[in-house]
This record gives sequence, structure tokens and C-alpha cells, in this order.
Amino acid sequence: MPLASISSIHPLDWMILGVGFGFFLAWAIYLNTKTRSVADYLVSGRKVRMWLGMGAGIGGEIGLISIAAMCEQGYRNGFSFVIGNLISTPIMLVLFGVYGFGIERFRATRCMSVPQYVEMRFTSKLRILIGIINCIAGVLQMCIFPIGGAIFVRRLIGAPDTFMTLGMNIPTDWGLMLILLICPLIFTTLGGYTTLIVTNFFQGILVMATMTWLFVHVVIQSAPEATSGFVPGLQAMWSGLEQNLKLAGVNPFANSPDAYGIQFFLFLNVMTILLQFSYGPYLQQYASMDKPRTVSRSYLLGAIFGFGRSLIIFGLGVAALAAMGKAMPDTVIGVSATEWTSYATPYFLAKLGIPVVLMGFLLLALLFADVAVTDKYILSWSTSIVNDCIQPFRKSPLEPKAHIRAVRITVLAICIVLFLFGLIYKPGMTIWSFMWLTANLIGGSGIVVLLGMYWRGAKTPGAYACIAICVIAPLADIATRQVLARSGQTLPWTPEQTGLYTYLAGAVAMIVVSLLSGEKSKYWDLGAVVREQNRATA
Amino acid sequence: MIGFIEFDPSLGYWSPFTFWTVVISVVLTLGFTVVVFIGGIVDLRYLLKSMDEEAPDASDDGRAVAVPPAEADRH
Repeated sequence: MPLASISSIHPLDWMILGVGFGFFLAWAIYLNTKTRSVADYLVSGRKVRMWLGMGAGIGGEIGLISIAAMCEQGYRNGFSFVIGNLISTPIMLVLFGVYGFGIERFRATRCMSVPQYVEMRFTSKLRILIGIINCIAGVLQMCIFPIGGAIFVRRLIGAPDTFMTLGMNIPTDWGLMLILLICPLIFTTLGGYTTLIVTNFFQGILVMATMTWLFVHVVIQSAPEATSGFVPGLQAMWSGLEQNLKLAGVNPFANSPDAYGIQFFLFLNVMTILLQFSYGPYLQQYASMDKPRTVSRSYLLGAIFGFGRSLIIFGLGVAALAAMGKAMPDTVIGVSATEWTSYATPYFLAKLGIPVVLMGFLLLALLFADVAVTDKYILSWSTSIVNDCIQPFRKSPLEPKAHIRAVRITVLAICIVLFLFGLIYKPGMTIWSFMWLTANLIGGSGIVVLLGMYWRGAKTPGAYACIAICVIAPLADIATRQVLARSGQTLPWTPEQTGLYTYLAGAVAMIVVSLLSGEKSKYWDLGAVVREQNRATA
Repeated sequence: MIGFIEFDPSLGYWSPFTFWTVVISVVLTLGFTVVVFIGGIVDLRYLLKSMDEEAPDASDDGRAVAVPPAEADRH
């Protein structure tokens, strides 16, 4: 069966894409007229209630790059991630969903970013340092979004590697990347976080419906030729998973090189906890909610019911594995073994064929999945750059219009950086590994915030010690691996172990140095503020 | 065979357990999506209405506010 090609996309599909784009754009233009203050632009005026916040939160986590990463993981590891998630979900639910551990307190500070809280609790110099570190790591992490998404879409629609324009042969990825950056730029500029909340809400519903439809289509098509229907297709898919990955496809701790392993999940859980207090995009979302309790309630319901959405997307990768096996087909040329795992699912979907109308909705969903996540992340890091890295150096605060303009200019500058990165990017590791590696650098500020909110003994010198360890150790790990790799050697431990023990060392350093410091603590009881704010808005 | 799917017996309980976890999670999520959509529309109306009603606060722009001295001195 030939691959689908961009020219074979039906006019009806283009129409669906155009009408859908118009719908989202109309919302953005309308909401822009309602944005009157910096708080409206950056945190929706703190008026987002539970269902809208949760819907937008779920939507904001299903980006084009996340879809590509989940398909990749489904193809590589099957559904074994499910068990790991079942183990960690109860811990996270109780911590954040029931007790609102840390996240309710952060909302109660009325801060827009982590560094803003750091200045209130510690010093303005530490705010600037953490702001710079987090922004560099956050933007670096985002660099993969447009190019990774462009590669996924090109493979899905079977577009050629290059196209001719102005007499030059231009890589198609660059053209797609440009579209995937211009769209978020439009939506971020119009209405800021208010637009983001509303478009992410509708986008989340759209992605969920489209991915479910696509999954059902894929399962039905997976049925053996002699049979037809959903159940035979499901049977073929599940048996294919069992045959290809054996126990590693359903058990993450199986004794197999294909399994995740226990260290991976330990690291993942520690980092997930720390990122709740340090990752700009999460905290900006918490800051936009109307009261502290809304933050924990939306986390609770989102975690219980949002898991299935990831599994549907994982399922597309599993279906690709079941149908094609682990080995790269001989017909695929110019793709390395590392790239193949991310190429497999879009290649499989293109080979299978996507019916008219579904293709239109799929393109719309993928485009706005990109807009949703890029918007959320880019606005968060731009806010942090302006508020935490520029504003503290000014003698007087920016006027509201100038403040919003500064954020918009920063958004544009980041888009240019992302585009330039995409021009030189060559896939060398899985998308997930790249994203976790960069997130690792941000996790250290989570320890500082956490201890700052709950321990009155936390002091500025301790925070500096913690940040230094959490930045230097992972960078030293990466550098050492690069040097050793030249002679074919590697470190006797994994990058996940480095991350895990770095956090432990950072926490210990912060406690010990804080105990030795004579600085006067600026601790204040956020628990009482949480209770007061919850009562006031009850 | 458990339900309508036949599993590889050599994988023990891992395979059926994972399968049913996936199925139940997906069904719950699909039902929940409808609830989120309805609740979200109600909240969206509230957001639009309250943005019109409340006066903007020019000082709420990300600058660090000093902790009330009474609070800070208490510890």
C-alpha cells in the first residue's frame, strides 16, 4: 500500500482545518478585547474555576510533541508504563489532590512564578539566579517542540523531505516548523493566558475525541483479513504486543533490556513531585485559579480521569508495534535505528490510511495540540524572563502596557531561538529523554521552594548550596558521558540515578547549610493564608 | 481467555491486568471528558462575566510584595 501524500489530503479535510482554525482565532480576538491588566494577560485575572482549569490543564499537557513522545514510548515499551503509573498515582493523589501539598500554598502566595516567591522568601539575587537557570533550561527543553512536531506531521502526511521555493530546495520540516511557530505566536499575542485557557480547553476536548476516533479506526484496521470488527482487531493488537515485547510490554520491572526498570520510576516520581513546585508552566496554571482549593481539586480529578487519554495515544504506538514488529522495514531508507522508534507510528498510520473527515480533524487536533502546549510553555518562560530576569533590574516597575509588550517581544524572541535550533537539530536520543534531561535542571528550585514553604529554618545560603549542586552535578554527568563516549566507555550508573541522587544531595546541602547560617528567616505561615483564602472565596 | 480477549498464558496475570487497567481507564476518561466539557462551559461563562465586572489591579504584575512584618517577625 503506498504512503499517503500531502496532495492526497481531501478538500473536505482542508475545509475542516480552515473552519476549525477560524473558530479558535475568533475566540482569541474576542478574548484579547477583554484583557485589560497584566494579571489578565499572565494569569487570566486569577478567575479560572475548577472545570475550566482542569480541562485547559489536560489540554495543555497533550501537545504535538507529547503525542509524538507517547507514540514512541508505546512502540518501544508497550503498555508497561501503566503499572508504573498505577503505583505512583495513589501517592500523587494523596499528596497533591487531597492535601494540596505545596501547590495550595503556592497559589496562596499570589505569585505568578517560582522566582517571585523566592524573592519574597529569600532574596532578590536568588530570584534572579533561579529565574535565569529555569528560563534557560525551560527554553532549551522547548527547543525540541517545533522541530519534533514538524518531523511527526511530515511523516504522518507523507510529505516529501524537501520542497522547492524561490529556486531553492528547502527541507519540509523547516516549513512545517515555521507554521507550528507562527500559530502559537498569534494566539499568545492575542489575549495571553486568558486565550490560552479557553483555546486549551476546547483543544483538549478536540484531541480526546479525535484520538479516540483514530484509535478505534486503527484497531478495526488491525483485524486479520479473514475477520473484521473492533474485537478481532483488539485481539490482534494485544497478541502482537505480547509476541513482540513479551513480559516487558506489560511489566515495567521485567528483567529485560526493553523494560523501564525501577530506578527510572523512582527518578520519575521524585521529579514529578519537585516539578510541581518549580516548573513555570504548572505554577502559572495554579496561579490563574480562583482559590487554593481549586488547585488541588482540579489536580485530583485530572489525575484520576486524565490517565486514559495518554493510554489512547500510547495505543497508537502499540498498534504500530503489533502490526510491524520491532525491526525497521527494509523499505524505509535514510532513517537511523534511534530515529525509527519515533518514526514508526506516523509511518504506520500513513501506511494504514486515514479516512476523509478524520484526517481533517486529526490535522486540526495536531495543529492545536502544538499551539496549546507551545503557548502555555512559551508564555510561562516569557513571563519569567520579563518578571524575574528584567524587571528586578529596573528602578521603577513597567507600566501595564509596556509590561505586556515586553512579554510579547520575549515570546517573539523565543520563537526565533526555537526556529534556529530546529535548523541544526539532529535526533540523538528519544524525545522523552531529552525533555527529562532538561527538566532535571529545574527540579532543584523545587527543593528550595518546598523547604521554603514548609520549614522556617530554610535560609538563603542553604538555597544557594542546593541550587549549585542541582545544576552542576547533572551538567558534569552530561559532560563526562560525552567525553567517555569518544573512547567507547560510559559511566557505571544511569542518568536517572544521577538525577535522583543529585536531588537527595541538594536537599541535604540545603538543610545542613541553613542550620549553620545565622540569617534571619523570612518564613511566614502559608497554611494559615490557604485557610483564609479558601474561606474568603467559599 | 478472560472476557473477550485471549491472553498469552506465559505472561501470567500481568497481561490481563494491564489490559483491563487500560480499558477501564479509557472508558472512565471518555465519560469524564463529557463532564469536563459541560462544567467547563459553565466556568467559561463565569470567567467572561467576571473579567467584565472586576476592576483591574495595576500592582498585581509579578513584583515581589513584602511579607507583612508582623508575619515575618513572628518566627
